[in-house]
Amino acid sequence: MAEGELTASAIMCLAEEVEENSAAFYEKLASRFAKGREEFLGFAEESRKNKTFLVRTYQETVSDALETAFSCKGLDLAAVEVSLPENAGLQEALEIAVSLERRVSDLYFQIAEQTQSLLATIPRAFSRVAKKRAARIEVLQSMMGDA
Amino acid sequence: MALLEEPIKKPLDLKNYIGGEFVRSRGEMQDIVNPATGKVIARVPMSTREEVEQAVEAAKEAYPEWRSTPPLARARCLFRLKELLEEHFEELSRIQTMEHGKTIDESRGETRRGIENVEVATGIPTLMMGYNLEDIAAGIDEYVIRQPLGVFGIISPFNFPLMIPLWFAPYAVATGNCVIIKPSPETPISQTKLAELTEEAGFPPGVWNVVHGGVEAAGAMLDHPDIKGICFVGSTPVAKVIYRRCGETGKRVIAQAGAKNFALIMPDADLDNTVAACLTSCFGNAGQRCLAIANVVVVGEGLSGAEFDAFYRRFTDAFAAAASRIRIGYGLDDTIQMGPVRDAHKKEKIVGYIEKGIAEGAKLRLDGRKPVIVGDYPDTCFLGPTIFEDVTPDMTIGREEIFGPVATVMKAGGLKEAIGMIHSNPYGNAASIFTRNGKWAREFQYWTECGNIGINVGIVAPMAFFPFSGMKESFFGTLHGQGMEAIRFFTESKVVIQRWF
Repeated sequence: MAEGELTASAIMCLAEEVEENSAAFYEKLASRFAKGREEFLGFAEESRKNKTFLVRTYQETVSDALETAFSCKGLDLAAVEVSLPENAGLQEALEIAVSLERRVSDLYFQIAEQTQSLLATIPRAFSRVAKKRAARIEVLQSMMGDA
Repeated sequence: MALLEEPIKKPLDLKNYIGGEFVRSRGEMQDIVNPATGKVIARVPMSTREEVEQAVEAAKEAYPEWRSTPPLARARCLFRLKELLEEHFEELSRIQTMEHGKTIDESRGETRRGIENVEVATGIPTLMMGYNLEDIAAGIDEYVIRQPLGVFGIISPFNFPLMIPLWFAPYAVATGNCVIIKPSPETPISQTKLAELTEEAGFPPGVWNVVHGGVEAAGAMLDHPDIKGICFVGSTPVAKVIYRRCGETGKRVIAQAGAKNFALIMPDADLDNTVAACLTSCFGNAGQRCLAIANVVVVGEGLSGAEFDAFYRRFTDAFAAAASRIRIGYGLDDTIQMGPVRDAHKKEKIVGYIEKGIAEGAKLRLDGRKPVIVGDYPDTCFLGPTIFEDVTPDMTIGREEIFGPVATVMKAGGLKEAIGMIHSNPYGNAASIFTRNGKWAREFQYWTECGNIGINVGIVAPMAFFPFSGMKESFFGTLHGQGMEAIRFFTESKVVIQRWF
């Protein structure tokens, strides 16, 4: 299996990790910056809900008839990684957040596209979360203007 | 490599669950070995005849009160069980991978299919309703009541350790019966865990019992006069014995047996999706599935000789190439696409079939005998996908159930000939056709003597609200497991005709 090629189970592990890392990242932003604190905590909470939603969707629809050789290919796994430099100011933090949301929404749209043939609920769930993640970009960019 | 955490940390000493208590058996203990790692993960007792009798006594004692428990209250126990199964979803799935070898995705799928049966059975207040008609004669009404019968036995196979007992048990207890489950002695851990959950769900002692063991325990269940019916899933020779002995002792019986399933690939089939479906069906669960496609028949209906050859080559090349890319290893590594077979003896038997195929003149297109294993695991139980070409239905590998990751590819000139090939085989569990042509699909559905028919579907696994069918040497009995047929199996139709003077 090539780099960036994942089974259904591995995709779900990745999504869990992405949402957990995202939640932790926004919690860190909230603790460091008073401005935008409410939005950051909201994103953290939403990420935890996203994680539950994606895992539940998978577990509720996974079938013993799941395609054996199924895998998503060419995924950009860099979406998992996010870190906040110690001395980053709000502007830099927001730029990192925008980049994170772009990578995550792209990754989820890619997964949704590639799982079309698998189980209808799974691509739908990834599309839904991808849209939510993409919608954060506008909020973050408007905060950048204010920062 | 991302290896998921193993839920079993040290070998478990499994006990029977009788009358609401986990009790140590006096029977001999056998090791349960994780087929991927070779490590002992549990010891299971071979329970005695007396221990089966104790379970029957416990079930009989629980029965009168349980059957008079309102159906809605019985359903609530099932709702709680469903919640607990969801709560323990991941643990149960990983246990299946550890005791059976299947990949974690396959195990989760199995857990889900099991839960779906519990969900369907929660509808028991509606499902169990009888029917009536007023005025069958002047002032006389007639109605049918569905009543439970008492104690049922469930004898399950190794390949779906959690799910298969759940094709039956939820319906049995929902209708007011009590059950004794004898899990496969090869994969008994899932049912022990399930018994713990039934206790937590609040089933009264004796309603749900688990007795581990082998032939002696199964024989005791078959002979016991107070067991009203047996549900069995396993091989055809054993199913025949079960069917006969249940007849002798007046028991109801569902005996689901072996299979040799065919898939017809018509010239207009969507090749990419067909190859994906065939891969899943032939090699999923390492081929240890009674719904697995074993014989793939490429059909040349309406094609010239040259066109047929080109079509055959296109399909087999794509099929073999895709199969050769399947990653083999420990199912708790979630990059893995196929796990080991259950044990070394099964591997040896499968390898024997591969050798027989070669000896009988079939062309070994893909040899799975020496697979590349991802990770540092003993090769004791691992096999890769094997594909044979130039197979005919009368060859041993085209005729007998191999129950492993071995697919054969055959040729048929037309649809009628291909259906004839299916009928020449004694089994009738499942068959599939891959086509875009509605007429061909209908012809196939209409004429093929198999219990489960797939149209562009590789694994024809009926959902919980449909019966799990089967014909010929693949099924012995009348009613099937799952859904309404299970409700009928576990109840007697009592007719009442009443008149008031």
